[in-house]
Amino acid sequence: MCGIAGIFFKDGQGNRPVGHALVDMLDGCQHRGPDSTGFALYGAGDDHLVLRFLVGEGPEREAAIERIRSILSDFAATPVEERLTGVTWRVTVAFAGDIQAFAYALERGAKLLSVGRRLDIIKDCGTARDVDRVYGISGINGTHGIGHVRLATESDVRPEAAHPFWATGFADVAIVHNGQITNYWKMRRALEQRDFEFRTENDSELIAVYLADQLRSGASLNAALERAVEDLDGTFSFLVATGDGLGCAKDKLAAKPMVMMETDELVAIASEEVSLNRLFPGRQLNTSEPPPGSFATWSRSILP
Amino acid sequence: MITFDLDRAPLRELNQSLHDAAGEGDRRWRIVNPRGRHNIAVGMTQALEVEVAGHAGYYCGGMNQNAAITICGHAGQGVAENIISGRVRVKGNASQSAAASGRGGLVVIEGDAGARCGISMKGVDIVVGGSVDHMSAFLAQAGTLVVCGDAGPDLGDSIYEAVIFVGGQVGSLGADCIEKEMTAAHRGKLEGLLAQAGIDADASAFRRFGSARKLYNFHVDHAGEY
Repeated sequence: MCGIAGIFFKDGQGNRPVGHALVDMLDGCQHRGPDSTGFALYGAGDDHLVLRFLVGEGPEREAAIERIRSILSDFAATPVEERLTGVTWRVTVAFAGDIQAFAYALERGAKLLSVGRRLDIIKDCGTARDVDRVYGISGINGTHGIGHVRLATESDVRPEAAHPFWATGFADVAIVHNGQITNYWKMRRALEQRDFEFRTENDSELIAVYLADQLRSGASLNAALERAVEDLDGTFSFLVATGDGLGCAKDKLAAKPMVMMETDELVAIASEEVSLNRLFPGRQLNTSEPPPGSFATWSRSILP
Repeated sequence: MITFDLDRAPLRELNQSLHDAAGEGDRRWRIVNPRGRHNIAVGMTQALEVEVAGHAGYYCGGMNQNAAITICGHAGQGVAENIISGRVRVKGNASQSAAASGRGGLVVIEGDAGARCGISMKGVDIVVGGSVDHMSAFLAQAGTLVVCGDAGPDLGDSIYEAVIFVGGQVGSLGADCIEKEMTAAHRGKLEGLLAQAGIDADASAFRRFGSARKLYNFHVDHAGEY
């Protein structure tokens, strides 16, 4: 099953309660996925690159961090700030080179959860409240974010198998997905022939890389989603976020649910209305359901 | 009227209370703060009048027998699924698979309904004030689907003996679904359903669709359509 949620504040101010909203929305649909919970949070960002790795908690942790440090030094990326939280290590670096080559190399040190100037992905086993307790998600403000509660069906219950997925190699692109892509291997091979590397066998990572590749080629998010609805075979309701935008898409049979609500200030999208209700307690919402085969995008109207 | 607040007591308690309602006394219930919760007023067997004051989640009024349920908002997937008898009315829009597998009774959706409205219906009458999306009345076996607005693609795919009336445009017809003659008897039936549903529409503007009955028995000429 799985549940997805996303929120986008239109004013682009970096101090909106994105973390708090996503914890509430995901807690509202935790019944769709009790195994693990994840968040892709977008802040105001600066020139530094934020890297978050999965390093574990046991004795393997120090070794993983040492491996990462050595790769960082190979790329002349100087750590500016670092922090251990839960099973992750977050480090900000000054880096101006090719992010794709950098990321592929870093993956050899430890599982890289995300890379971005604005993006930070936090995901772990447990409920939204569990992950919030360990990582303090509720206190994280920003511009927008997406989140996911997972019911594992085709892989283990492990933090690296949880969503959101970062578009490996592309800064600031993340996805949450409810469904299954049936032409996964065909599309993956086509991208691998162009030297893209995949770090999981999860079909959601494929969607993220596929979209990010198009964005890098100059396509708008809207155009990339229009093509995705044609190219992807299977069932999907997914949300994709970039440094300054949010998009959603639904397969042509509308096999997976998605409900949305838009006001002058924000857009909120979730698998179920119960999640949207959490944002506006006591209000009768006028929600809508995107039609089959549809997609939509939002981007910040005011750039800081 | 008995008011039940879903912010103050759990859903199971509501459904149990509705099932256990005494045969005498107040027969009208009002459910407040539904907040899109699933399975509200499911499995009803008593002739109660239930008003849901807000939006309902999945399967509201599912398996209904005898009760008259009104949702004063939108309804999630599978509203009134497998309804046996009684009435379910949605004042707003309904999501996918409204009245799926319904065996009897009347389902009225004043707004629009999503995809697969009336999928596998087996005797229920459905009146939609607005439009329905793709694959509505898929595998529909018996009963009547009335759509005052437009129908999406693949209407009535693999339909058996259910009858479809559409007031607006049809995106496309599914396999084995064809337009049929609208006789005076059909118009009379449609007028009766619109009156029961309390929906004001001109019956003379509707067209009728049903089964071409070519897929009932295997025929090699139709192999591509199965």
